[in-house]
Amino acid sequence: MATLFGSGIKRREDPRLITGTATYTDDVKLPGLLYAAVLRSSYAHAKLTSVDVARAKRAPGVVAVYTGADLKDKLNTVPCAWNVPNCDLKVPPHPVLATDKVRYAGDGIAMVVAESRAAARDALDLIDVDYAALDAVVDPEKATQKGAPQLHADVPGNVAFTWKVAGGDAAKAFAEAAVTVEQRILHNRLLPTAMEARAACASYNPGTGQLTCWVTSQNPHIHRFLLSVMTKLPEHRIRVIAPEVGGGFGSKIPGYPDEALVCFASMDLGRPVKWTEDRSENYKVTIHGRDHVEYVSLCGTKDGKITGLRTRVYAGLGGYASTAAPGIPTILHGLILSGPYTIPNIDVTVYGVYTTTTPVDAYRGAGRPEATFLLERMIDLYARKIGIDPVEVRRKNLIPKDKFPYTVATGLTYDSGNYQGALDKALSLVDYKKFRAEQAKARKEGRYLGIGVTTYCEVCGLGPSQVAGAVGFGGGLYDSALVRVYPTGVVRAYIGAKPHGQGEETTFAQIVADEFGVPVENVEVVAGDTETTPQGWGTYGSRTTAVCGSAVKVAAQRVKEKAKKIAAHLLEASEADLEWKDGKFSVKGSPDKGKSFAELALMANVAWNMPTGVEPGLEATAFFDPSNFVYPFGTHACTVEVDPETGETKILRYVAVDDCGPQINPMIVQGQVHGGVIQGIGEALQEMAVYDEDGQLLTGTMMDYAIPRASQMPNVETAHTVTPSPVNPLGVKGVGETGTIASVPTLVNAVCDALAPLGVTHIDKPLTPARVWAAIQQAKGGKR
Amino acid sequence: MRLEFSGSPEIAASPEQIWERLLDPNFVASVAPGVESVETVDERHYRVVSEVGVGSVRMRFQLDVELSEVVPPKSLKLSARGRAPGSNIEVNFALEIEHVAPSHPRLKWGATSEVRGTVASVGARLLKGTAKKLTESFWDRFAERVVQASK
Repeated sequence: MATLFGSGIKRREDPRLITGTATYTDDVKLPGLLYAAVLRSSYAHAKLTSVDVARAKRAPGVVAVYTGADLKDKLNTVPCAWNVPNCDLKVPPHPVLATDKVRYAGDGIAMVVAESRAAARDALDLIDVDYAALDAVVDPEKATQKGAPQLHADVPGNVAFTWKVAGGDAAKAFAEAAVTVEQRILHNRLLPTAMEARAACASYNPGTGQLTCWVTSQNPHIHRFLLSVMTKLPEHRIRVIAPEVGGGFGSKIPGYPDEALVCFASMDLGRPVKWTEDRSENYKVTIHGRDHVEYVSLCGTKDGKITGLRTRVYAGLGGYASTAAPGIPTILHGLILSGPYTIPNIDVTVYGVYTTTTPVDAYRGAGRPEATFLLERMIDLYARKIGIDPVEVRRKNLIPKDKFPYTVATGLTYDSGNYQGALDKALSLVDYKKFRAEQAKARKEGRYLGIGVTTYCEVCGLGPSQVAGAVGFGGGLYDSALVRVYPTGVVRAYIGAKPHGQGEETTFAQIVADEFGVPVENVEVVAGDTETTPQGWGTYGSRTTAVCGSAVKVAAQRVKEKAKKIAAHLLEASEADLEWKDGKFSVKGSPDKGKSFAELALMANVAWNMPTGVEPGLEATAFFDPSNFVYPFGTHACTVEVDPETGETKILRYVAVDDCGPQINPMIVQGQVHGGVIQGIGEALQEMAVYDEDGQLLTGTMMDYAIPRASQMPNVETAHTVTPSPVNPLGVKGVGETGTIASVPTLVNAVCDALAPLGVTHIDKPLTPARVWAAIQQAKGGKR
Repeated sequence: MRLEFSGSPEIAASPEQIWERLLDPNFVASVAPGVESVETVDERHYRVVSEVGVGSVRMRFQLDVELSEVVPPKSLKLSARGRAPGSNIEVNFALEIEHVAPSHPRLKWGATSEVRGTVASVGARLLKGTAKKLTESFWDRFAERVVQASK
C-alpha cells in the first residue's frame, strides 16, 4: 500500500467550510436562548463617575443588565497565565467589567442580556455613563517616561516587567568592535483579523450544576481552566466546546472577560446566553499583535563576522496583561535573537509596558517575527556599512550544519538544521547573480530594483512541559491523543489540540491510516470538546503537528502493539514471528494466513477469543511531551521594483524555501507558507493599527485597516529542504508561522536595497507608498 | 480624535445685528445642520439634540452647551459636552467680531473638539471632511439669513 505520509491529498475540512454546512459558535441555537451585548468604553482612559442602567433595564426584551459593581464579588478577575519569572512582573487586577476606571477604548462597562440580539444592542444605547477623562498614552516608550499618565495604582511608570537575557560579554564586544550599526526599529501594531470574530454561548443546567460553553477557542482545555477561575465553578463541572473555529492567529488563545460574562449570565438566569462580536468590536477588544519600539545595535568585524547584538525593547501590553502577553516579547522574542547565526555576545532588555490601548498578545509568530525582523534588518545595515554583499555576510555567520545540536548565546539549544542548504536553494531559484546584474542595468536606466534575502530559524513546537514550567507558562505543553478503533475497523482519533484552519483533520488521519494500513476515509479526527478529548494544550506556536501529531503517532503505535498480540494469539504464533505487511499481521513466510487490521479490530471489540491477560477493546491514549522545541528554518528571497515618483512597491518575485522536516501533506504545508507570507507582506507594506494621541483606534473597520487583498499579492514560489528533527517520532517541525516570520524583513530589505542608490537606509514599516515617497524625498534632501 | 477648525467669514451686517442672531438659540438652531431641538435652561445654558451622520454612522447627540466670557457685541466662548450611543464629544469654541469696515465685520472663530468612541473609530477617515462641510454650511446659512434680515 502506498504511504499516505507525504501525500498531498485534499483537505477533508474544506467541503463543509466552503458550502456553509459547518457549525460555528454563532450557529449554536438552544431553546430559550438569550443574547448578550457589551457596552464598551468610548474613552481610552477615564474614571467612571456613574453608570446608570435604569433605563436599559426597562427596555423591551431586556432580561438583565450587569455592571462592574454588580459582578465585583461574583466573578474573579481575568487571569494572566504566563508569569515570566525574574522580571518583577506586575499583573494588576483586570475586572470582567470595569468598576472604577476604564483603561482602553473598548474596555467593558456593562452587559445587557435580552430576548433578541437587536434588543440587547438597542438597550446599550440607554445606558448613561459619566466619564471623568484622564490623559491617554499609546506609545509604550512614552508611557515609561516621567509625567506619563499612570494606568494602574501599583505599577509605577507603567512598567509591568523588566526582563533581561545576556550571553557572552556584549559590552566588551561593542567596546572592541571595528564596526557598529544602530537603528530604532518599530514593530507596527497589528489586528489579527481572523475570518470569524469571537463568540461564546453558555448553557448552565441548574439541575445538574453543569455548565457547557461553546467558544471560539484555539485551546478548549485552557479555556475550561480559565473559565473555572473566573466563574468560580469547579473545572469538572465545565464543558468547553470549540466547534468550527474560523481562524485565530493567536487571538483565540486568551481568556477574555466576555466568555466569563456569558457563563455568569447563564448561571444567574438559568437560560442559555450567547454573545457574538461584530468586526468593529473585534478590532477594539480582541487582542492586537506586535507593538514594540526597539533600540538595536549590532557590531562586527570589517570582513563581516558579527560579534555582538544588543536591543532595548519597549513592548506595549495594552491596558491589561492578557493571558500569554508577558511571554511573547521575552521568552518567544529575546531568547531567539541569535536567529540562525553564531552571535557570541547578546544582551537584551525588555520592558513590558501598560498603555491605554487594547491588550496585546500572541499574533502569528508572536515574538519571533519581531526578532527575525530586527536581526535581518540590522544585518543588511551592517553589510551595507562594510560594503559586503548581505548574502555573504549571512553565509559567514550561519551555524554550520555539522554543529547541531547547537547552543546559542541566549541559552537555547537548536535541534537540527542545514541553513546553507536552504540558502543555496533559494539563491539558485531566485537566480541571485542574474538579478544583481539586472539591478545594476536598471539603475543605469533610473529604475529602482531591489532584493531582500532572509535566512531565518525560529523556535516552535512548544514544547517540553518542564521548560514551560521553568519559564512561568501556566500550563503544560505536552499534547494528547486517544485513538479508538470501532468493531468494524474504523477509527476515531480524539486530540487535545484544536486545529482551526491548519488541516490536521486531514494530516492526522494520514498518520493513523498509515499506521493501520486502512484507507484514510476510515479515520476521523475529533477535536475541540473537553468532554471527549484528553487533556491537551491547544493549537498555537506551530506545535500541533510536532507535539499532538506525535501523540497521535504514539497512540496509534500502542493500538497496533495490542492488535499484534491478538494477531499472534489468533495465528497461534509468537509475536516475534509476525510481520506487518500490506495492512496485515502474518507469520513470516506465510503471508496468505494474515489477519487484517479490520479483523483484529472486530476480534478485540467482541473479545470472543482474547489472549490471556489482554483486556477487550482496541484503543490507546498517549500524552506526548517533547524533549525539546523544534527549530524550522529556511531562506526567503524577494525582488521588488519601487516607483520613486509614487513610492509604490511592486513585488516581482517571491521565493520561499522552508525546512519543516518531513512533510505529512505537502499541499497543506504549501498553503501554510502561502498564507503566512501574505500575512507578512501585509505587515511589511500596509497593515497598521493606528491610535490617535487620545487613545482612539482610528483603524476601526476593514475600510481603514489595510489587510492584504488578493489583487496585490504575488505568486509565492515555494520549495523545501528536509532536515528531520530528532525530538519527535515524526521528525516534523512547525510551519504555521514561518511565512509571517520570514517575509516581513525580506520585503523591507528588498525595498531598502532598491532605494540604496538614493541613500535610503531604513524606512519604518509598513512601507506604504506615502512613507516610501517621504523617505526618498528626505534622502534626496540630504537630511540623512 | 482631536479636530481643530477655524475660520473668519465676513458678513455684510452690523455687529449688533450679528450679535443678536448669535445669541438667539432658535435662530442658531434653524441654520445649524442636524439640530433637532434646543431647550433653554437659563440664558447661558442650553440642551441641544442634534443628529450627525459620518459615513455609514448616523447618531443622535445630546449636548450640554454653555456660554461663557460673553462680551457683547464683541466676543464669546462656548463649550459643549455631549454623548451619543457609543460615542462622546467635547467642543470648545471661541468667537471674536473684528471691525474691518463699517457694517462689514469679520467673525474670527476657532474650535477644538475631541471625538471618542464609535464615531472616531468607524468614521475617522471621514470625520474631518464631514465636520468641515457642516461648519462651512452653518456659516454660509448664518450669513445668508443675517444679511437677508438686515436688508
